[in-house]
Amino acid sequence: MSATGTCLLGKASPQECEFYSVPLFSTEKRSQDTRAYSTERTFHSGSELGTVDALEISSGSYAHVVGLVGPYNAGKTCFLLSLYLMASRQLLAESYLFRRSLTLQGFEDRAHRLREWPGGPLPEKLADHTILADDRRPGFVHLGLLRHGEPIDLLLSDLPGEWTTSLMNRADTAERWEFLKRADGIIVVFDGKELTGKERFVQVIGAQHLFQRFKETLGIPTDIPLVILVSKADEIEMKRPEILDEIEHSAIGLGFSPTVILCASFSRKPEVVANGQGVMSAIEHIVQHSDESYVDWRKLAPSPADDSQRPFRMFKFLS
Amino acid sequence: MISKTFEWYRTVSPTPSSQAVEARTKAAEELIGEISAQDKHVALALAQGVACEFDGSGSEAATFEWLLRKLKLKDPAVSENLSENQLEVRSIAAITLGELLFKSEPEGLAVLAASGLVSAMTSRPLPKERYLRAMLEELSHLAIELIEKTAETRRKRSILSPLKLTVPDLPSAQKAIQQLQTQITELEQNAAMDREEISLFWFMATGFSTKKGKPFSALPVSVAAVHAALDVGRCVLAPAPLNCFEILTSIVESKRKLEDCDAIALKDQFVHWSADEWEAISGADSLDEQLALKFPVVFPITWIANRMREAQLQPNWTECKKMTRLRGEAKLTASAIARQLLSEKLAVSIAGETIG
Repeated sequence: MSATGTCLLGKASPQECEFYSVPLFSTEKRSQDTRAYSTERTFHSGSELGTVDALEISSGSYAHVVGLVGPYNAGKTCFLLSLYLMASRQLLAESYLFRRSLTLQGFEDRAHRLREWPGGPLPEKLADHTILADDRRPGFVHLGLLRHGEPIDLLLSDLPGEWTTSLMNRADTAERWEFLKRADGIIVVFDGKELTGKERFVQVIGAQHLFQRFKETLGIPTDIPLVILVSKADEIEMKRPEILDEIEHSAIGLGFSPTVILCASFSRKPEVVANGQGVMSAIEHIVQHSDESYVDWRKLAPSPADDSQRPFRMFKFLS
Repeated sequence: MISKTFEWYRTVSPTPSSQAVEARTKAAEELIGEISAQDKHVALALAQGVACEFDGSGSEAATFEWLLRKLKLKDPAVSENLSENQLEVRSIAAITLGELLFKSEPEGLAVLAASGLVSAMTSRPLPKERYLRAMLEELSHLAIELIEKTAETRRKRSILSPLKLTVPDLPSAQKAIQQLQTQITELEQNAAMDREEISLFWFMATGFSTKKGKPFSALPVSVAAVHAALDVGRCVLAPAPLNCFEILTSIVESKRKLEDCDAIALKDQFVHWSADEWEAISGADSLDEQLALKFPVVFPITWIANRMREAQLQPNWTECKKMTRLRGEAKLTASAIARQLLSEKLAVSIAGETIG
């Protein structure tokens, strides 16, 4: 632990290891140049970050946690890859620049099918099925951007679609979604073709269960930025599926305020629908959710239970 | 606030482990236990570090070091590097500051921290980051609650009961003198309250700036904002209730066209300022100047006035943003500047009483 910061017994943090002892040090002996030295350096594969690994980013600056939720083959990984490839090729809006990523390897591993694409029509499946290094804990990919010159870090969950399906069906699987309670926003991904196909009503029922789980089982506050993302929208001519109203209303009925975004992570008709359309809109909706506002002191100030006891010198009658 | 450790630590960790929460709870308990022994500036350093973030400046160094050492004793995994522990330290500072405000013990330090936080947050947009924003809103709530409570206590009139002046022996005489001294103190406090009330009513009734020799409504609105805030600051007892800020706003905005009171870029608010304004806000070697140099996030307008006094012109806005963390392009009304300046003056006044 002292050399590498990694517990040989596989414990997630030093406190959990019975052999770890707290180093005692004196502040007087510390010189200024030791400040940059970190004894807790950690190593990870770069494929994905666990919640403990994510501290490496979030201890230094605020990390926006974005939960990507959706059934198998909905297009979650393609959404992430589209974002990554746009960032790495400077194809994001002018106000954004790629800054860093602690999971470059993870993005590249997921993108290898796209890298190998020889041209011609896009293959039916663009990304491999997501398999987590630890299938009991959520994994995140990290993307650091500069937005109007200000750094912004995104931790985006990349979880197998089966996790979403089991959340819809069984409340007892909700525990592994605990991280959503701290999410800055949730993107629920639905396959646009499924929403216009025979199975569309199954999608609606699944969505209703999902939103109920969010609210009732996980206790996610209803003011969380919630995006209903219709993926593969280029294949449905960027037309909003009619059934989407039912999905949207089921979320609104529970108190959420969803935003619907039609998305084409990788367009099959790039001359008509741009690659990556809708991807940054979903991210911006979450990152930019709050309006610029100031503390409303008057709203925060307490009112005494019995106002008549308040001295006139508080000048309340003047306001 | 220790009871909020889990929620506020979530600004750092998406899924805080129970060990991590326990470590921070213990660290905050020990920090609160030791806070009286710290330099009194700790209250302002905490307010500054929580409102924005610790930037490694000299005035924050002792507080930052104190927080970090305590946190590392409980959780050695916390990095030593400022760029890697910034939010960790901000979160433990928020928990400690919250507990100080919630317990209001020691009272002087708590009121100073509360007024520092109010001053730091008055003209500062809330962060867009969801959980950071929630934390700052809750802290602001605690701060304004404490200020209103203290302001109310300070304005409660003492009822003087008649003294028995029969003094048959020396011990009775000593007791009577003690009672008399207490009553003199209470009379003095009552008189101070009366003076505050009368001064404020005169201020409202005349709407006249004695410094400029003109009604406030005849001055450029940004100049009126300065002198009205300074006049109210001189009239009122610290801490002042929120309603004094309403009085200030009404004086600054009265008898003006609506468009004169619109929000404009912060840097444009200073176009009409002259030596009259910056000298009045912060004289050389004053406590205002010293505090603004140390805590520009808490005292941004005073910091700007200092720079203008030194350079005799508008400040460099790149430096200004770096120090005060306010953007020159931020849109603010003149009355918002007045409220900010009044907050700063009240915080300086409380600092003068607490720090000495």
